[in-house]
Amino acid sequence: MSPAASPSPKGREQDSSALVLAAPDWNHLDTLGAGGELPPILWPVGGSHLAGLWMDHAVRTGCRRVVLYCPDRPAAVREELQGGAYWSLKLEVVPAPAPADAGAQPVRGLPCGEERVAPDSPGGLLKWWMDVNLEWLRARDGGSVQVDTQAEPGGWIGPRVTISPGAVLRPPYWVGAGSFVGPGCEIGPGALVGPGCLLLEDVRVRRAMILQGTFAGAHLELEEKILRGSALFDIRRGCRAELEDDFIASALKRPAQRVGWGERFLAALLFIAGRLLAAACGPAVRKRVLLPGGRDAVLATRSRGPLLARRADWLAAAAAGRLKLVGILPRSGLPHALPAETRALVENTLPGVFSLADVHGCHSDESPEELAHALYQAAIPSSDALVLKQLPRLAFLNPGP
Amino acid sequence: MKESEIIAYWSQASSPAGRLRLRLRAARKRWMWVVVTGTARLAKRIFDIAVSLCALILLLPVFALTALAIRLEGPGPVFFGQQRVGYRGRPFRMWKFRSMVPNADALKDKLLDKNEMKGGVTFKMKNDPRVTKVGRFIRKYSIDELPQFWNVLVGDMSIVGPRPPVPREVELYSPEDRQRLLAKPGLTCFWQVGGRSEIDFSGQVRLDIAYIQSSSLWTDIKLLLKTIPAVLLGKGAM
Repeated sequence: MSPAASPSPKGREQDSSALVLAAPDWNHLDTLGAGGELPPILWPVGGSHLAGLWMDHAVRTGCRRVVLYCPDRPAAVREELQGGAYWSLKLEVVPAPAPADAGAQPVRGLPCGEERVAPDSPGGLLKWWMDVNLEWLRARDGGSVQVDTQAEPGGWIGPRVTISPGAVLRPPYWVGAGSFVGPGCEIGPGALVGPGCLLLEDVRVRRAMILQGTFAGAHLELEEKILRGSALFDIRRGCRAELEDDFIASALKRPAQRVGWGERFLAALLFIAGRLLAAACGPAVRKRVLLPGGRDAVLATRSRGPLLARRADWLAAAAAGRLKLVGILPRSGLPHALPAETRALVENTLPGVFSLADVHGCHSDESPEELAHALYQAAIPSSDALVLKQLPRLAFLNPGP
Repeated sequence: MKESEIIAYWSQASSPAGRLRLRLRAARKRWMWVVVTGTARLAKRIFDIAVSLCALILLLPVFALTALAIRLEGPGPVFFGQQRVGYRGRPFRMWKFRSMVPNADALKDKLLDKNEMKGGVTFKMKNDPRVTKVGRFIRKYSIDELPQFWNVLVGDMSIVGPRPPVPREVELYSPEDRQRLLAKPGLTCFWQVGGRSEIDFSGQVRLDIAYIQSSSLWTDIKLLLKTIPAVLLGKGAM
C-alpha cells in the first residue's frame, strides 16, 4: 500500500483531514492462493491486516477521512472495513487504481515502515508478506497499553493463551489470542502464531507464520513457511503444498457450510407450499447428486409446474439441513476436463434449491451454461444475496417442459 | 525430544493402522480443543441470557414504579434510546430510563467547558443541571441502567464488559484506546466496581483492557457479585 496524497500539478486543494491510499493490484501474483479469497491488503499482519494498520495510522495522524483506491476486490475490502466504523473514520473505497496525477510514492507495507520493491512473482509475494509481518513484530511499541502482553522485549502473548511446560519462546515472537502451545514447542525467533491455533507437542516455528485457526500436529518443523490450515506455503521456493494427512496440519474449523435455522424454517414453509402444488405436476425422476465431504443424496425432481413444486423434494432436504436454500444447483458429476482447483471449488460448495443459474434462465445442471453460473456463485458467495432477492419470482417461475 | 523418538513417531504413518492411530489422536485433540473453546464462548452467552431474563422478570415492579415516577414528574418519554458504539465499532441503541430533560443532548454542547472528567474524552458533571429530580435518584442507584438488560438479552451487550461509549467520544480515541471495542460492551466492568466516575479515562481504558486480557466466565460472575453492593451504595455514580 502507498499513500497517494500529494499536491497535484494543477494546484488542486487537498482535504487536510483526508488520507489517500493506493492499494496494489497483486491479484495476478497470488496464484498460490496464499490469502484465500482476500486481497493482499487484508492478509493477516500480526493481529490485524495491512488495511487496518493504515486506518490506525490515519487515526494517529488526525485524519477523519480515508480514500482507498482499491483495484483488487474492493467489495471484500469494503465489507471487512465496514466503512471505517471501528476507527470512527469516513472511509471511501474506490474500485479503481489511483489516479495518475496522485503522486504515488514507492510501495510501503506498514505506515512509517520501510519502502520495499514490489514483488514480481508468487514467491516474492509470500516473502514480502512474511517480511511485513516481521517488520510489524519488530516495530511493536512496548510503551503503550496493548491487549497483547509483552512477556519480554520482542515477545508478545495474546489473551487466553496457554503455554505448556517445556515450551521455549525466543523473541521476536507473537502468539495470538486463545492459542495453545504444546509442551516442548519452540516458538521463534521470528515466529507469528495467529489467534485460535492449536500446536501439539514439539512444534518448531522459526521465521514462519501459522495463521488463525490452524491445527499443527506434533513434531512439525516450520522454517521459512506459512501454514494456513492444511495449506503449506514455502517462502524460499515460492510454492504451495496441500497436506492431505490432517494429523500433520489442518484447519480447526471446517468451512461454514452449515444451513442456518432461519434458512431451514423458510425451506420447510416453501416445502409445504411446494408439496401441495406438486400433486398436479406429474411423476418425479430420482437422481443421485454429490454433496461436499464425499457424501451424496438422492433428490426427486418433477418435470412440470413451478420450480417450487418441481423441487419440493429438494426443499425437504434443505429443511433437513442437507442442502442450502440458495446455492449452486445439485449435480451428479463434473466434466473431466475441469482443472483440479475449479473441480475442488464446486465439489466443496454445498448445493442449494435456488441458484444463480435459475436467475439467468438455466434450470438444470446438464445445461452447458449452468457450470459457468455455478463457478461464479461458488467463487463469490455474496452472489447468493442476488438469488435471495429474486426468490419470490423464482419460486413460482415455470420454466416449461 | 530425541531424534530417534521423532523418527519413531513419524514411522507410524508408514502403515495404515499407524496412520489411523495418528489421525484419531489428532482428531481427539482437535475435538477437545473446539469443545473447550466453544463451551467457554457459549457459557458466556447462556449466562448473559439467563441473568438478563431473570432480571427483566424479577425487576418488573421496579420498572413499573420508575416509569410511573418519570411520567408523573413531567412530559417526555419514559425510555431513552441513545446511540452507542458496540463491538468493533458497530453502533446500537442502548436503552435507559430517562433521567434528564427531554432535550438534554442539545444542551450538552453548552456545558462542555464544565466537564469534570479528567482526560476530556468522556463527559461527566456532578451537578448536571439537565438531570431531573427523579433522574437524580434513579442515577444514584443505577435504576436508570436497568433497561439495558434488554440489550443484553438481544445480544447487543453482555452482562460484563467495557461500558459502551458514545460515538462522539469514540472519535477522540487513539488506536490504543480503541482496543476497548474488542469486547462486547457490558453493564458492568472492572472500573464500575472500583469507583466508576472517579477513575479517569486512561484508567478506564487500562481496566477495560485488563478485563479483555483476563476475561472468563468466573471473572464475570465475581464482577457481577461485586457490582451489586457497589450499585446499592451508589458508589461513584453521578
